Amino acid sequence: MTAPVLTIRGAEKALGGQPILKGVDLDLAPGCIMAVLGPSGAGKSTLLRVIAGLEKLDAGQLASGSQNWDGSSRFIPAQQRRIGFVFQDYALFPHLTVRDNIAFGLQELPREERAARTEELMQTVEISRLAGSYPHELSGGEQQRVALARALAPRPEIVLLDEPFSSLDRRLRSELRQQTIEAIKQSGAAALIVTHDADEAFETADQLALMEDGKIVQTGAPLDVYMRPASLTCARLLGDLNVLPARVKSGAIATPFGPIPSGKFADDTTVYVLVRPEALVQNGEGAECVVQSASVRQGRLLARVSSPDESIWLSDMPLSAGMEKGETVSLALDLEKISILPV
Amino acid sequence: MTFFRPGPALLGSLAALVAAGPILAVAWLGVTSPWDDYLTHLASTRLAGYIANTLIVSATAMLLAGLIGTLAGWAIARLEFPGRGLLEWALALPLAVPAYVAAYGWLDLTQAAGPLQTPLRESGLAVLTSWMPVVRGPVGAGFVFAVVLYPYVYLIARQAFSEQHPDLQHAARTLGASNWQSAMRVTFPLVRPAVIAGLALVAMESIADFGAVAHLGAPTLTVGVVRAWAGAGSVADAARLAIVLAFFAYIAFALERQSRSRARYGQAQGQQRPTERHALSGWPAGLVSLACLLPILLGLVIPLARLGYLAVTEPVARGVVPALLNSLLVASITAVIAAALGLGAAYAIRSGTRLGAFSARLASLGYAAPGAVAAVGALVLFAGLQMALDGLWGGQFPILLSATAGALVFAYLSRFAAVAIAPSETALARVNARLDDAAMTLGASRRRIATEIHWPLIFTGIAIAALMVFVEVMKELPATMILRPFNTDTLAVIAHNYAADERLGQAALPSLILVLACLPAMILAARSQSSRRSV
Repeated sequence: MTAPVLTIRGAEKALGGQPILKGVDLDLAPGCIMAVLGPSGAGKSTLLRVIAGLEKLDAGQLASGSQNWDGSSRFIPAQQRRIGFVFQDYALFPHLTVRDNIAFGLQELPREERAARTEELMQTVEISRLAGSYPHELSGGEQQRVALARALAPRPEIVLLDEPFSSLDRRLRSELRQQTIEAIKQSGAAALIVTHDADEAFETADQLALMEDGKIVQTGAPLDVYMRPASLTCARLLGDLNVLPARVKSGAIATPFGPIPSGKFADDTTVYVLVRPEALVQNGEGAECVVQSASVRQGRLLARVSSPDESIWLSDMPLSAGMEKGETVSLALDLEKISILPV
Repeated sequence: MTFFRPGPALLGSLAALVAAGPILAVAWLGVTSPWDDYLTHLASTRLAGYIANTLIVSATAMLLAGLIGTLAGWAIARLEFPGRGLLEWALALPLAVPAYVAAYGWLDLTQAAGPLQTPLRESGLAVLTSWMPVVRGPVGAGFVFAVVLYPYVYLIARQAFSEQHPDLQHAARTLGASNWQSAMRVTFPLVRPAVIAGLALVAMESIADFGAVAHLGAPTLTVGVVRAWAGAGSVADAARLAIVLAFFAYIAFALERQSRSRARYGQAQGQQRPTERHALSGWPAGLVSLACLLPILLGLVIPLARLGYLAVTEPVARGVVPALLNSLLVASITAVIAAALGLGAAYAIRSGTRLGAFSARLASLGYAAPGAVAAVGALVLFAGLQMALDGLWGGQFPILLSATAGALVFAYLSRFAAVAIAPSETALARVNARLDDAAMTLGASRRRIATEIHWPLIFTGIAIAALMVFVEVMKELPATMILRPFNTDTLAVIAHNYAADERLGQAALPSLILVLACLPAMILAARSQSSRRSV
């Protein structure tokens, strides 16, 4: 693996006396797109501002390649870091046209090169026809494209995106996500995309970093993180989840759907059994459950069912007619998709 | 802001010092100097009258200005009728007319020997003249203040009306309220804090005025201060009266501050939508157009027309040109310095440091100090400084500090720095801090951010600030009377002196020129404010 383009060790930052970052460790490989996923208030935006040099670290180290950016009484200001930043509210300069917004960071280039680079980026994000417009004349999606083009224009090695799609409507969001990823890939920059939307993280990222309460709690390939969450909170960040606290007895764990093998856990340990809705599947030999409610989600059915011991479970099942309240279904656990964590 | 900016913080603190200095000096002198006969005599004779006049004048002005300003603001923000676009900014123009100029025009027009009463008497209808009100005394002064100061209420009310989300009325109507009820229960209560803030400004200005109340025979505390200094020659007595005057002014000021902070609750939350205007047609439209024209007639056109008539028919006043040049000079100098101080204070507020915010607030306190108080304070400060310098020098220090243009500009700044702070602050507040961040990540230096991001975005606001200060200084009378260098007159001073000598014919020309010099600045400021759209 090549040397990371960004290395963070033990980063701490308090704002207004409130600790926000509590020892963040993170590595970003060149050209890698990493999604930072976490609930609001986890410190995601502050992390980006610290990386960009808009805030100074209280403690810890922040380096890019061999260059120390922050920490050990050294601080490279934002102006010299050459990082692309797409702000949540885009922060387009209201008095400049789209073209001038994009060219703002290209001041050191000769005039023709600047114009050419600006033109090139407007084509990449498909806003050439808006070159002479002012930001307030643009739609939300168009503003987002301008913000992206402006950030990419000076060819940064790192692009930071703070909830870049949060103010757009759903359909536009997934279309723009794809275009954004393509534009970043094409530029060769590494990117950190902050989001609180798990689907968005899965759709955009090569790497996933889960953040909670001022710390990065797990990093890895999205599928790995999904399948093998490091903790209950990690698992919860990534989507709907059934959690069953249980105790291991004679090498097995009792569930409403029958006993499951306890794996590496010894007898008498307390564990959490984590069951994704898609791990609770229809099976002729399963437990009889009663549907409490059901809703259609992305072409499938997400049902709330009550198991034989009256506990409530979420089950993701194929769409079928007549699956309504009061209906009885037979459900079993798909052992492949279950993880067990110590308490 | 993470980064320390020494420049603005320094300017902010300077603005605070300039603004607060005179008031503190007045308070100090008033408390420490010995009481003497003049004040005891005054307390037993005129003081009660001064206070009563101050109260009647400001109450009348607030009542009338509140009525005119609120209704005009509502009509412009909520109705569509012929001439609305023009009236929107023209309604602010009476602010260019000093109250004393309006007072000259109105009194001359309505007095017994004036052009309204004389023809009636000559045609044997003398009976009718006793029914005609004469604009004089405290109520007359209140009327004059109302017709030139109502724009304070109008501007702030118009903004409050147009910022109200139309869904608020829609919600009221879906809940069963009639149009009338929704206006009475939703629309007007929501602008009440804004209107009160405007009224407080009206009160502060009418309390601080000297020329109009002196001319109309309604001497208020301000007249008392000027007389104590000019007549009795006692700075200490003037200072003590100034304290009483400042007390009334600060009541109005506190009211304004409190209402302004409450006024924020009246603003639309979330996505801004253009206000819906109810389109009028036929005779109601014409009626509203005329009604909105009326305040402009009362405050600007009628008094100026009368003075214009006098100016061409009466002998020409002398010394108008040098006075005009003096006025333009001090007003321009003060406007530029005040704009710089205002910008500094606004940056200090934006920097988010406690010192910055505090000094800016302190600076805006100066606005509450009537010109007479600021002038007496400046006298005290500069006399003290002169004494200190003389002591150090061991004799008369070469520069005579008091009664110079320097002291005058200082007093103006102390009073009007706040006028510049508010628009600068508004302008800078519209520059989102994220824009700085974005520019920084794009490699822009502090300097480039200031010149290419901030300056283009705030330029209009700063220019308006300078124009407003310019107009205020042109109009200012009492501080100029007290502090002007010997033999140096401004337009305001010669107009007042002629009027005080009962030579209104000669006062007319300088008055007229004064208003004409203020009007372009006022038109520019009013038009840019009414066309301003949020970024």
